[in-house]
Amino acid sequence: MKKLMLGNQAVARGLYEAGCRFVSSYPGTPSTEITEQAALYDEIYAEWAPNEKVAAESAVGASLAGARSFCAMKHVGFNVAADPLFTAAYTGVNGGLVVCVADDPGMHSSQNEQDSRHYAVAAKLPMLEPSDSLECRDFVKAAYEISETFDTPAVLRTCTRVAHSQCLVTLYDREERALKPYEKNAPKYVAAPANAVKRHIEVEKRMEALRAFAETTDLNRVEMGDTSIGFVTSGTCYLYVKEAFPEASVLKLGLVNPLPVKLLQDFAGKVERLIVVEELDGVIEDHMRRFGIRVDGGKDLFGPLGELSQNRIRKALGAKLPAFTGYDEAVPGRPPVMCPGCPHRGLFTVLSKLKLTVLGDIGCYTLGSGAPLNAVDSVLCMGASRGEPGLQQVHRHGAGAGQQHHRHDRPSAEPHHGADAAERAHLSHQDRGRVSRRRDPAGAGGGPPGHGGHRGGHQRGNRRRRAQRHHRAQALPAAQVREGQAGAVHRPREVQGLPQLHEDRLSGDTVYRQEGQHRPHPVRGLRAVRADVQVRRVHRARG
Amino acid sequence: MKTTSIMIVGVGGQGTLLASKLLGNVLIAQGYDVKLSEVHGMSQRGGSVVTYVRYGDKVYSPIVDQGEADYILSFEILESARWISYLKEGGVLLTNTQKTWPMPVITGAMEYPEGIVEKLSAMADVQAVDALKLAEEAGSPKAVNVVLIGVLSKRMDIPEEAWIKAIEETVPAKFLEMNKKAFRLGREA
Repeated sequence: MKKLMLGNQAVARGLYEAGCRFVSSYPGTPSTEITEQAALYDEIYAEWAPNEKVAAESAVGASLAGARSFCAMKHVGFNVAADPLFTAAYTGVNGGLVVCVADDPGMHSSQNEQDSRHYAVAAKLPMLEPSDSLECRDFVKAAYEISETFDTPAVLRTCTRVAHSQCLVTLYDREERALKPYEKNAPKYVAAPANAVKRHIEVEKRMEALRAFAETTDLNRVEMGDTSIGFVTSGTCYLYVKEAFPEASVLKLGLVNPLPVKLLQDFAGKVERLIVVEELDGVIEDHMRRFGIRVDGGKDLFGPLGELSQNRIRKALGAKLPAFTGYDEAVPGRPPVMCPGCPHRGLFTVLSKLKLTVLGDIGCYTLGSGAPLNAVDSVLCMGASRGEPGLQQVHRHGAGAGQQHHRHDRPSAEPHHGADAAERAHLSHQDRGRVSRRRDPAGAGGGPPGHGGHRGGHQRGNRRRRAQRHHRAQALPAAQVREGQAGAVHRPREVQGLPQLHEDRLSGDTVYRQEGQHRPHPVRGLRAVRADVQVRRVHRARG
Repeated sequence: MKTTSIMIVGVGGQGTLLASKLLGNVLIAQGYDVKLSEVHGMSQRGGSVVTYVRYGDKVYSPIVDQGEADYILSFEILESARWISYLKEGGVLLTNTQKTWPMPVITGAMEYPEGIVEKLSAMADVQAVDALKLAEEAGSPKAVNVVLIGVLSKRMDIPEEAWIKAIEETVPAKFLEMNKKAFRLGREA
């Protein structure tokens, strides 16, 4: 039976067919649907972990227990999971362990476009890169074979276009696999220095064996055609190359770590002009140059930025581009906005009104930085809003040498007067979380750092605390009064910093209709099933 | 057969994904190799969304590049203007005339451009349809996507029964009659 499947859905199908029993992941676009889909198979226990590190550790645990196990994450999630995975490369596996990492070239929904292939090289893990849904399914199976044959976690690298494209996949039955017997084996699984020293030798031997495997595996495939130009490529770039140059010779690499040498040398010897096409960094190209293999074009043509496409490849190689005509007038952009009903709309509105410095977080919260909310000052990574103590320290107290360091929720040493003081008093009392009063780091209220206003804080502490008590009751209205307008009447609709919406436009029929079609994301429950019981029973048996 | 490229463009929440799923199902039933590509995540939050559908004997790239689309099926007129450069020479733009203001227009930073249909008609083969009106006539404003699939179906060399069958397989049973009506209204538009 053939079915149109999303790449992520096909990864889940691969897990099912390969006899995987345990999935623990942390969600992140473009990897999320793998685990959602895996949860639909009764034979697979699937769960969301609190983060990627825990997910990877859980999957390692299930592998130790003898089950084929799996964990998925987006590229930045691999940063979090790197700790257990680098050492899991040393300990190896019992049941096969496959980790899927989904890159996001072009940053459709990510804060950076790091290239996960570097991780495979650094952690010394085999990495497979499928180009479409069909290969997603097949490569999951191949990854389990590699994992168990070479006693290593195997990494599957996808990207947005593979994860979120659909193509036809022929479905096969599941191959049930008995749990591998668990054996206590401290020299292998206890990564204490004395053991790890020996395991590192195993890692290097394994990489040597994998390098030999890379020369012959059918994951790497040569398609000879017109020999005037030959492409070395992998993943979704293979499809763009075939689209742009259907007649050309292609070496398609399915195993992207370790890379072959002889296979590349042979291919280079058969074509007149050799072009390496890869998104983001020149990992394949650097490898080829290191081994003295001729490269006639690579990153010098395509650069390290964003997604490639058939047109980008045509253009870089001077081929004819399809003709087109663009609209000759400026088209207003349509940035995404927070869903109607999202509680963060209200939160960010208030933060914006209060003119606070807001250290935001990733995901939808980044939308709090755009118009009309304009509330968020910084977004770095998941959890980076906890950078607030550092910001507070510098904003409130300066960071000069010899400064008394205050906890951010203790009274500060700045002079206080009128509404500004009330606002600070209120905030220092109430907002111990992730917001701080937006002000010049030099200290609008107290002059530049080191100015007299910053000194003698302890003498003023009592007065300061009295002010705090005094202002607490009326703190919120006071905070909304602009500086220099002490005593002004509270007028919430005219607070500076909140762009006025054209309400007549908001009441437009189409806007409401469009909003009515949005729903908050449902919380999807994942089911624990029999396989889970089996895996956990093994854990329990080991105490 | 040469690969045919269709782009479905609109605003997050308009049901473009269901339309591409329906189209994919029709094409598979016809025995074509089919590839679909979409971007999830942030684009769902009321942003501009685009789905690529490609079919033929053997399809490679899942995406459609500038100047490559045989058809653009647009759910919103401003999105038609945004994506028109993806239409190939001789391609067909099938567009809803519905307007949904983007945030820069709501905040007053920009004006919603006027006369888009007229301008686009001078550039390409354009069929403009008030799909929202037809969807309401069929029974639900949510059926805009099926109305537009009806509009597209008229242009493609696939029998009507195949479309009806795909609708039956794609939409929930209780909305089937309404969706069939929406499809017919689109097809006759």
